[in-house]
This record gives sequence, C-alpha cells and structure tokens, in this order.
Amino acid sequence: MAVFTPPSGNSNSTDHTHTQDDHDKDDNDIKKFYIRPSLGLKLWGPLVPAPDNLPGLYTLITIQSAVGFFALWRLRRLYKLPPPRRIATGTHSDLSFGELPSEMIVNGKTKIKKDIADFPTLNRFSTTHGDIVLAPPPIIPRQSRFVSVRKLLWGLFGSLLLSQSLLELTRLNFLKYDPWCDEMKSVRDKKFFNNIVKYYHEGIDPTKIKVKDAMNGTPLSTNIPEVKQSVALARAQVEAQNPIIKWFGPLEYKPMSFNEYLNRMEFHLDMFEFFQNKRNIRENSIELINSISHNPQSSSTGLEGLSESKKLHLQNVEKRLHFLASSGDSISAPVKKRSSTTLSRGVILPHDTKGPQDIDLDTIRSLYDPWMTLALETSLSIKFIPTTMPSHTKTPTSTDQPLPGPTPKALTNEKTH
Amino acid sequence: MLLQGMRLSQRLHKRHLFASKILTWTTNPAHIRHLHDIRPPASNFNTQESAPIPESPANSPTRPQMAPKPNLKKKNRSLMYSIIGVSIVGLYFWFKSNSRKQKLPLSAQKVWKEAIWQESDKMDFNYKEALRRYIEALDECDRSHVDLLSDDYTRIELKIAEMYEKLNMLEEAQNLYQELLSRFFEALNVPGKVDESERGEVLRKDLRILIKSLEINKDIESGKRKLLQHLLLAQEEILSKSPELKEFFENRKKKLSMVKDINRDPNDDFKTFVSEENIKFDEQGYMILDLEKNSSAWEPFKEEFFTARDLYTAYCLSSKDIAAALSCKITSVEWMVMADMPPGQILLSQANLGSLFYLQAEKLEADLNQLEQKKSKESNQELDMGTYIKAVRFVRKNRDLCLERAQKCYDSVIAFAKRNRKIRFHVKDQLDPSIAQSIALSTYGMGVLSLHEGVLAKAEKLFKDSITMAKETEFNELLAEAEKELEKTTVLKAAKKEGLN
Repeated sequence: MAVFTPPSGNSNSTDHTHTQDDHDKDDNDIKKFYIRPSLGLKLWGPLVPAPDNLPGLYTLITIQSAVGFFALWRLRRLYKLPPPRRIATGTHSDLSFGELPSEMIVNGKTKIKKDIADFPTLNRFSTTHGDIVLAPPPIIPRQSRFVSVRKLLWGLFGSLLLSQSLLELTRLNFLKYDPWCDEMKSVRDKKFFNNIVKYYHEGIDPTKIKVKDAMNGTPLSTNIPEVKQSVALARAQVEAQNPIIKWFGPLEYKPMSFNEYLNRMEFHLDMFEFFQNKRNIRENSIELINSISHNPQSSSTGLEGLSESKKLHLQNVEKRLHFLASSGDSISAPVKKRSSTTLSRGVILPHDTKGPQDIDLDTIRSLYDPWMTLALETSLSIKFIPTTMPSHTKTPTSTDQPLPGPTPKALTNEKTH
Repeated sequence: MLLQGMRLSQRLHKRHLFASKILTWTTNPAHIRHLHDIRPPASNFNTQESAPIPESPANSPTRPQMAPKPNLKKKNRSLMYSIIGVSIVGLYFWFKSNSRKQKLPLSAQKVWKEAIWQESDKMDFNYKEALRRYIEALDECDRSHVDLLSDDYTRIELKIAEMYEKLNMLEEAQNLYQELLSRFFEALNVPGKVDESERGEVLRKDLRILIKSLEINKDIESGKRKLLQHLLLAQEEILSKSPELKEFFENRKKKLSMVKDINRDPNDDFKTFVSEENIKFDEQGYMILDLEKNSSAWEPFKEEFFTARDLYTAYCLSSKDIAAALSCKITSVEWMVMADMPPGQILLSQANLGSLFYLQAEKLEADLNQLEQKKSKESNQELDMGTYIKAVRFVRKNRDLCLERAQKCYDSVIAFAKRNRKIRFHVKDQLDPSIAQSIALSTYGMGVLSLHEGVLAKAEKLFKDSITMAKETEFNELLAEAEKELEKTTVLKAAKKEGLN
C-alpha cells in the first residue's frame, strides 16, 4: 500500500519536552501501517477496509464472490471437455494445440491423423502415402494433466474465494458483537478528539482562513477560543471525511490480533449469557408475582393502559395550556428565566422557508436533534470544593453546572451552528 | 440473424464431417500405442512436429471465429448473471443490516413539520402551539404503531418534554422523562427486546434521560436508587465486553481478602492515576487519547456513565454518606483511566477525589471531637478506657490516612502539570477548561490542607495562586470559596501575630 518505515519507537516516551529538532524528525517518520483485520478478505492484503466500513466490506465481498463464481464457472467449462474444438477452452496456449490440421475424436479422445510419410521411421522403405491415426503423443498426456491441474486450480481458487466471502458475510451478519468493529469505532472517535486538540493548538492561519460571524457577516478575530474551537472541529471533520481515512480508519491504528479477537468474543458470549440468564430469572420471578397477585390485565394490556394514561395526561395538558393562556403575563416571567438557563436554542429556519411544507425534516432533525440537545444538557462537570470551617465541622460544597465544551460530545455543539 | 444461421450450418457441417471421419477410420488402439512406443524421444518429436502447428490456423482461417464467438457471448452472459446474483445477495444483506431504521408515517411527518414551524423563529417561537402539534404527531405515530423505542418516536417525546420545560410545566416534563426512562429500562431488562448490537446506544439514551430527569428531580433517595439501578445495568454491559473490568473486580476481591487476612497497612494500595503512564501526549506535548488502548467496551456511553457516577457521588455527599461517595469516586478515577476518558476529565476527577478525602478526614475529625467531648462529659463516670483509646487511635489513624491521601491526589495533579511544559505555561490555551480547573482546584485544595495543618503562610500563597488561576479560567465557584478561605487565613494570621505579641 505504501512504503513503511518502522515508527520512531518511543511512542510512549515520558519525555514530552521535545526539542524542535526532535519534533521535526518525528514528523518525517511515516508511521507503520497495519493491515486491517478481516476473516475472509485476507486475499486483498492492504486493501482491506476498516472493520466498521460496511460499504467497503460489502463491496470487496461482492467482487470477491463474483471472481469466485467466475472461477467455478471456468471449472464447469473445463468439465465439458473435450469440446468440438479445443479453442473453446479459450486460452491462447491451447490454440496452438487445437489448431492441428486434422484432428478427430475416437472413443471420446482426440486423435490426430497424419501422413505416414511424415514419420521418418515408418516411411524409410516405403513410397506409399496414407493416413495414419494416432493420438498426438507429446500433446495429449501433457495436456490432460494440464487440464486436470487447471481444473484443480480453478476449483480450489473458486471455492476458496466463495468460502472466504461466506465467512466474512457470516461475520458481518450473524455476529452481534464484533470486537474489531467496536474497536475501530472507538479509535475513530479518539482520533477525532485528538485531531481537534491538534488543530486547536495549531491555531488558525489568518492568511488562509477568514472567519465571519454567521449572523451579520462581520469578520472575527481568529484568536478567540470559540472560533479556534469551531475551526479545529471543522478541520477534524474534514479529515474524518477524507476517503482514505473513511476506508481505512485512522492510519496509525493497530488492530487487535486474531487471538485477542477470539478471546474477547468468547468472553463476551459467556458473560452475555450469564447476564441474560440473570435477567430471565428476574423476569420470570416478576411474572410469577404478577400471576400470583391475579392481575393478568396489567401485563397484557400494558400498552393500552399506557396509551390511555397518555390520553388522560394529554387532556390535563390541554387544561394546563388553557390555564396558561388565560393567566397570561404572570406566568411568562419564569418561562423566560427558565429558557435562558437551558442550553437548547430556538429553531431558526432558513430565510426562504415559507411554510411548514417547505421544511426539510431530515435537515432540521439532524441540526436540532433532540437527542443531541439532551446530550449537551446532560454533559455536566461536577466539582467538589472543600472548605475549612472554624467550628471544625465542615460541610461539603458540591457544584454541578453545565460545562460548555470539555468533551468531544459537548464540542459537537459547535458543529450545529 | 443471417450470419448466425450461417455459422450454425457451418458448425453442423463440421460435426458431420468429423463423424464421417470416425466412421472411416476405425482404428486399432494397440496400433496407436505401438506407434507411441517406437517414436523417438518426445522432445525430438516435438521439435519436428512443431513446424506445421503454427501453419494450421492459416489453413483454416474460419475456424477460430466459428467456435468461440457464441461461447464468448455465453461466457459473458453467465459472468454477468453471476455478478448480478452476487450483488443481489450483497445488497440484500446490506439492506437487511439497514432495515431497522423505521420510517415515520407521512401524516406524522406532516404534523411534525407543522410543529417545527410553530417552534421556529418564523412563528416567534410559539411553544404552546408547537407543543400541541408535537402531541398530535405522537398520536399519529401511536396510530400507525411506530416502535416506541425508535429514534423518531423518542425524538418527538423529547421535543414535547422540551416544550414543557420551556413553558415551565416542569411536572409534566418530569413525568414524561420518567415514562421514557422506565420504558428504556424495561427494554434493557427484558431479554430480546433490544437487539444485542444496539444495547450500547439504548443504554446511552437511557443514561441521558436519567441524568436529565435527576436534574429536575429533587428527591435524593429515589434519585440515588434509580442511579444505582441504571448504573448497574451499564456496568453489566461494560463487564460483558471488557475482560479488563472483570480482572479489576477479581483484583479488588483479592485485595480485600488480603487486607482482611493479614491486616496490613492499606496505605500501600492507594495510588494516584494522574501520571505519564496513563495519559498520553502528542509530539507537541498536548494531552491526547491513546489509540492503542482498547477501551471499546466503554463506548458509546462512557461520558454519560461517568457523569451519572459523579452524580451518584454528589447524591451520596448530600445524604452525608461520605464513605460511599469516596469509594465510588476512587473506582471512578480508576475506571476513567481504563475507559480512556479525555485527560482533562481524569485530572478533574483526581482533584475531586482529593477533595473527598479531605471531607472524609474532616468528618473523622468531627468524630474525634465528639469522642473527646463524650469523654469529658463522662469522665467522672465509668468509661472503658481501653475501648476509648482504641477508638480514638483508630479514628485518628484513619484521619491521618485520609489527609495524606488527599494531599497525594492534589499533589499528583500539580506535579503532573509542573512536569509538562505545555500545561505549566499554557494553561489558558488548553482546549479543555477542566484541565485548568483541576489544577486550580488542586492548588486550592493544597491551601485548605495547609490551613488545616496551621501552616498559614503557605496556605495564603496557595490560595492567592488558586484565585489567579480561577480568575483566568472563569471558575467562579472556586473563586468565591478561595476568597473566603483567604480571608480566614489572614484573620488567623493576624490573630496569631497578636497572640505572639
């Protein structure tokens, strides 16, 4: 795939105070590229995509299976031999054999008719000419061996490819837990975080990037931390979208070995079964209690009950809303106060939206995803600040407050602006 | 057509010809074999015979075209079929893996759009009307039996809760969150309800709703109970994927039994986690995450998990159960390292742990005071001096241990920051404010410890340092506390001076 030189070897060195020279040297070193793991795509070598790159994996499986089918089809053709003309086998090497002037089939075997005079040993004392039939000796035994070798090769090749494809398909479809895939996902996230850190500290080159306020278009200084954050985030996103990175994942990622993969899978299967059994027992005991208490309705009509309670609840809501509308201004004050403390922003639609029918639901849903809003609201940073008390009986002070941006998740806030 | 017909007839003719030749030349196989036997060495024969071979195509120029063309076509066709077949199978699997994403019914989509329209700036953020529309959309979904756990269904519900909050109907919002929470919790607990590969995502949502509902909820005991339930569920999920965590539990069990057996000094066990061993740096000396560390078992809900754990710690503190808070936090810090959390979070956690140790020491000291008071009260009566001395000694030892550990925690953060130039000199530049905050908090904590010991000059200096740091990072809560503590220190210092004079 690329020319690789071993890494500098001190990746986990404790010396972080590199000199400038050291740093330059490190940059020149190309990191080692590890072939991405797979069960059935090993033949692709370094082209194997990242384990979480499903489109890539399926593409390779499709190509591989197609080639496998082609090989088996070739095998089938070879079994149909001998054809009327050996040209039918199609390869050029055969053409020279197949083009002998007189060729025929005897007992299913190809024979060659020759003039006796052509044989130096036979026409020594004869002037007669006549045809003699003989098997083309140097050709046929060798060719039949060749054909069987080819049959073997095509057969092996085809079945190998198909079985490998099947193996990989099985992995992708029937494994609920794939350690490689999970690992890759987490590595991508980490790399994204690292890139944000990197680009943030690299800063913005004002000659290359100009930052403008989205609302009124006034240019902003590139030294404001928020601007730097947003630009770093955007750059990290661009890098994550890079086709090579998308295909292979972060290039320096080193996948776990097959052994570890198996170990983890085995461990997971054991543990999962254990917990599932535990949950089953819990579930059964709950059902038992329900049946004892002669209340079968509660479990069977749970959903209906839920919808009914929801209806009741909604009626209440209508009442409340009515009340809100009638009471007017007295309520609106705390409303404002409340909304100013929450992180969620009001929906701002594009200027050209004329009515609800113009709204692109998918875009709005991704821009103002309630789950994302919830994630931002629940990203808390909790600090415990101790104090000394004169009376020697001290009480703790704990503050929990929303933190605007320490984590990669919270940083995604910027993305949606 | 004509061409094909001609080819076919040629082919038939040729077949016929072959057949007639076979009829004419009924041969004796033995004869052939004999000929083989007497022939000269094969190589020689080959060279002699090779001459006419290249000529042969020239003799029959029509032949190569005759046979292969239909074959080629056939070949192409079957190749095409096989490719199509394979792609269909591939596409089938591809769609199957994507098919779980359910589409909303059109009617619900329409109402949803109306709701967004009402909620937006175009309608001046008409939340009341938007709420009505969202409820309507949910009804539409119910009518067409949309999966209650699907993304879109829960999105609409979250929107409704958000509208409630914006309209200051907190009770309704809380009820909705509770309903969502219990639905997720049930789905996670009933086997087979959530696909195994989606458990992580569902858990993540569950934890988010949990944290949100706890923010509104003020009942500490029920909050604690819920936190425990959900955290246990998340923990099981992690444990099912992480052999490392199992190892951790086994080690802890072993350690506990060892402590019980030998009754040795547990001091050796405690170690801090802020070190170069656990936190990776990039070439420029900034803290980054370690790609080589496998922390996938904690994904994708690790952020929520640790926030929930921190909340649990805070709840324990609120109910004055410092010991539980402490043990929870000790484990949190260690797990954060295992989960490869952002370095700032680990630093902050370590500093928080120091605070908790200090609080525990304070509590033990209060216990000690109580014991002394009890003793002075009951001094004239019969007091079992043996048990009293034992108790005092035990509490004192524990208190000193806690103070020592608090110092260790704070010190590890400060020393770590000092060792690394980028943190030491560019604290303000760090992307993650929790890095600077943790250092400020640790400096402040050291000040509190010094004040506790009565080393006033040192305490004063540390408080002043922490005040500047807190100002730089806008860490207002700490700023207020540090100023108070600084005041206390100056008062004490003045009193001490007066006392000396």
